[in-house]
Amino acid sequence: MEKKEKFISVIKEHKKIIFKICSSYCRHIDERKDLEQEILLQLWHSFPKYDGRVKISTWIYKIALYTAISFYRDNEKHKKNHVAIDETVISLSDEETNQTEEIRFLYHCIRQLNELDKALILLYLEEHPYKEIAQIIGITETNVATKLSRIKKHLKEQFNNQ
Amino acid sequence: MELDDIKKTWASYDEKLNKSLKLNEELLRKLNLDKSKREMKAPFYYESTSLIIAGLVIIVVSEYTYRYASEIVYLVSGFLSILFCLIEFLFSFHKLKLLTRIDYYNMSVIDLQKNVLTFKNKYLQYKKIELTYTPLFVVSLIPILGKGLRGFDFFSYYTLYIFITIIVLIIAYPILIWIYKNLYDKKLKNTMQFLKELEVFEKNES
Repeated sequence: MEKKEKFISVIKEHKKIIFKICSSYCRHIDERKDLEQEILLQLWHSFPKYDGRVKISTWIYKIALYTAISFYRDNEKHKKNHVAIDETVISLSDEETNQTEEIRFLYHCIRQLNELDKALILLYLEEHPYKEIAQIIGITETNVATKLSRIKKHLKEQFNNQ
Repeated sequence: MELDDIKKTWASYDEKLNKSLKLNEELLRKLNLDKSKREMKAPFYYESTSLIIAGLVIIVVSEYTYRYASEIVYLVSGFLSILFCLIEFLFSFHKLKLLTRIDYYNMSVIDLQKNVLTFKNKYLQYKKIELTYTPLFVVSLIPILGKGLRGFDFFSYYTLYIFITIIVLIIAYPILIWIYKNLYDKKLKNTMQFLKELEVFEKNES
């Protein structure tokens, strides 16, 4: 299979990861479109180095989260590589009806966290074990547990005050 | 709402996404992935070119300096040019070393951020130093290069040479100060700040 076709099929299979990360880091559709493009470019850039030693989803999470954090910090620089497009590459068939009020509020709460905490809670919600979260983010398991406990407490409070 | 409920809500949302999420393959192909990949590699090509050019200039100017070493003004001109080129060579070498250390495959998110930020930080710091000595490099390189390439003796027109040197320095330095303040200093402050935040995030276990 041609490299680009293989890449497209990997993205197709893991589009949910990119979609959820973009939705957690960006509120507006234009920002989301830019971040999505930046993640796809970074993934394509490092795709030849992928040799199967780690799960492909872990690799996608790592690149996508790294890109989202950088984008959040420095979103002017990246736009120069972008192609002007009117819509997102990954989209919902009908976004508004598919997102429940609870999910919308959860995204709202996640967006309020700092860029590194967003990465932690996303991995937690995706049921990654602490050991794997520690490896992806690059901190100790104890640190993951401490930070997640604080974030979870914060989320719980927000939901209860809703 | 309890945390378990939040996780359940997220899991059922994940299920829904399986059905409702679409990938626009046509649009993905339109993104000019290869062109962007080349642009992302631009810093590597830029630093490699800079390293090669600095190396070549060192070789050429060393030869001219050796040839005209009996004339003190050309010895000084050549020596200064070689010194500036050597600094450029070492800076490019270090930046290339930092760039090759960035590993998108094996590094964690924090390590990747730290390596990219370290490169950015060094890039900006070196750029400031490079810009500072560029006008001095130009005025020291011209005489030895003119003598070596064309046999032109700049120092026989020393009043003209001094005049040009003063004009170059008077014009260049206010522009450089403006560039530092408006382009580099702010970016440097931001990268340093983010590096500090990453260190705190890594260490803070309590």
